[in-house]
Amino acid sequence: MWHRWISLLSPKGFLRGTKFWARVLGVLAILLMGYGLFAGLFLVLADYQQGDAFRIIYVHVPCAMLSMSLYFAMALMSFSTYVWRLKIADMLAANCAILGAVFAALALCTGAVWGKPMWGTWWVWDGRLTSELVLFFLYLGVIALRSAIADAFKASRACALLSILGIVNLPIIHFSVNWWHTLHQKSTLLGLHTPTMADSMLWPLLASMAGFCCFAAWWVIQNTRADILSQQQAIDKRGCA
Amino acid sequence: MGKLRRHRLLMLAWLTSFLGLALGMLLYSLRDNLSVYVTPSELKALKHVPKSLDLGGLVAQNSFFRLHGVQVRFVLTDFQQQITVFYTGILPALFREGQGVIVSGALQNNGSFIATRVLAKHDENYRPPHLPNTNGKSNKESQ
Repeated sequence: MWHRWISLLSPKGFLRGTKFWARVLGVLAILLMGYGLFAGLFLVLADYQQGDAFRIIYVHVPCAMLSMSLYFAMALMSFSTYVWRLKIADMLAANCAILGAVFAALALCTGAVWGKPMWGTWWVWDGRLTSELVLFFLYLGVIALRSAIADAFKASRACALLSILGIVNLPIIHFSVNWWHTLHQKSTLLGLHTPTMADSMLWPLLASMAGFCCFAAWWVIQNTRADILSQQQAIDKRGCA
Repeated sequence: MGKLRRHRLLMLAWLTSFLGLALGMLLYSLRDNLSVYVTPSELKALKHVPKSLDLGGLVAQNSFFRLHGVQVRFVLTDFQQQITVFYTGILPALFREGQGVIVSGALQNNGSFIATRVLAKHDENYRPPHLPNTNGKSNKESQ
């Protein structure tokens, strides 16, 4: 049982062990996102207050959630990189940073597009929006730091340290709507008074979130596989010459 | 090697806990300035009222009047204190009586408030129009 998991830690073992499961994740992502987004954008009835504008929740919430979960995953991988010097963890962290930055940007953009007609403003410097923007800049910082240092080993250590320290931002994002008066509403799914969303609206949202998660896992794994293969190719070429 | 790993672990633990502590203290000392608005009751309790400020609360029932064109008047309340607000401009889509709003502007000498911006605050409840409200407290945001 355990040796199957441990074999994933070596690049060769990772290539072997993830081949099948990456495909499963990809198929799950298509099915869940397909149902969640189609039902959310076309089938579900409009909200009693917001009308059709509320449908952006089916993209905004999964993006915002993943921007945070990917940061947590990146910090976890960075921790393994820093303490145990795991090569595979460093590669996974680098890919988490790229996708996480994309999701943070999408969460900010979709929120602004919804905010203009509903709130009356694209942007406001409240606790939730500002801390999410800080998260976006943290991602950009990690990406920039990696490409700024030529020595790959030093770069991975510096990125790992920055990622781990940046994790203090995650609880701030999550609790910002409870700690301060913010323009952003409180959490619908993780709130105290559950459920605050009608079931017919909730199921497509949950499916969409699960689908986005599968997509993110699939994307990170596939890119890491590609990184391993291209590194092996570079080593092989050097061996021949 | 085991010693080295323990050293790295300890260093990370110290670093994150100190950073967390520093940030926690910073946010705690800034807590009054981090909120985007004050409520009417909080405003009444203020000793020194700033020239321009953001005020948050609910639009009182039956208090909304269109004065002239896009010139409107309504009462902002937090169920303890209330303030009459004047505003000229386009209101956001979610603006209605009973809804939480944040108005930016200045308090006048006569106690009324002239707003230059009105933002509607949305609550965390979602439902289709025909369903009854089963959430207990819909439009009222918890203050």
